[in-house]
Amino acid sequence: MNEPETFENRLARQPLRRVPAAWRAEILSAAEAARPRVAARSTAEREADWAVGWRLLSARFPLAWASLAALWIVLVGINLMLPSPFVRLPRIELGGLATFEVNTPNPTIPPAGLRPPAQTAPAHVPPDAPARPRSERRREINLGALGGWLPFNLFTS
Amino acid sequence: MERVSAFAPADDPDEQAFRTALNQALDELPPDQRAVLHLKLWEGLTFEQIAGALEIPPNTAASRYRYGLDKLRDQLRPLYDEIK
Repeated sequence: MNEPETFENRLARQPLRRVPAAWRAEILSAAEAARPRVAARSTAEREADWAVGWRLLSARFPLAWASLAALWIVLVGINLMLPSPFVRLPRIELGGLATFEVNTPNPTIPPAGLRPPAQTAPAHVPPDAPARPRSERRREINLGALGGWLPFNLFTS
Repeated sequence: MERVSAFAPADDPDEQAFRTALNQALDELPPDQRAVLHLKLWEGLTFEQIAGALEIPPNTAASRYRYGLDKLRDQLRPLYDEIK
């Protein structure tokens, strides 16, 4: 057995002084009498504590609470004076199922932007235009993109 | 005002001197270390039970116990070596 354990055992073997029986009974009875006062607090008492707390809080900062109430009243008044954010749409009288079908876009026809190129009008190509190299056509397209900004033609002068 | 020792009186003078020194050394300890030492040595509680009773982590209880025990050992070593 090493030294620390021996020292601990030595300390633990020292007998504590016994509390006199009268003292012990008195202490235990006092503790028993004090325990229910802490544990058996009713709900009403706890609510009363909350009320006291709120009262203390409101009494401590009266100006802040009054300012908050005034601000709240002003905001409510402004909200009541402003027009409603919801726009009232004019009522549409639907004559029947046929009118409904006319006003509803046909789901089988795609919008104009999503139509396949075959449905758009083809570009006008003169039938008797001679075939030219692709590089010349690309140059025309690039010059056309300048929008006529150049005062002269680079390729004809 | 004379303080009453926490330990029972002993017939052996050496043992009584050790208990008196132990009581004095315990009085000089910080209360948190003294509480842990008391609960561990003389109440036989584990560190987990001490931690639950004092609402501290078990490691804190163990460290307080170790620090307090080292202080007691430093103060009681002469008497302890003499009795041993």
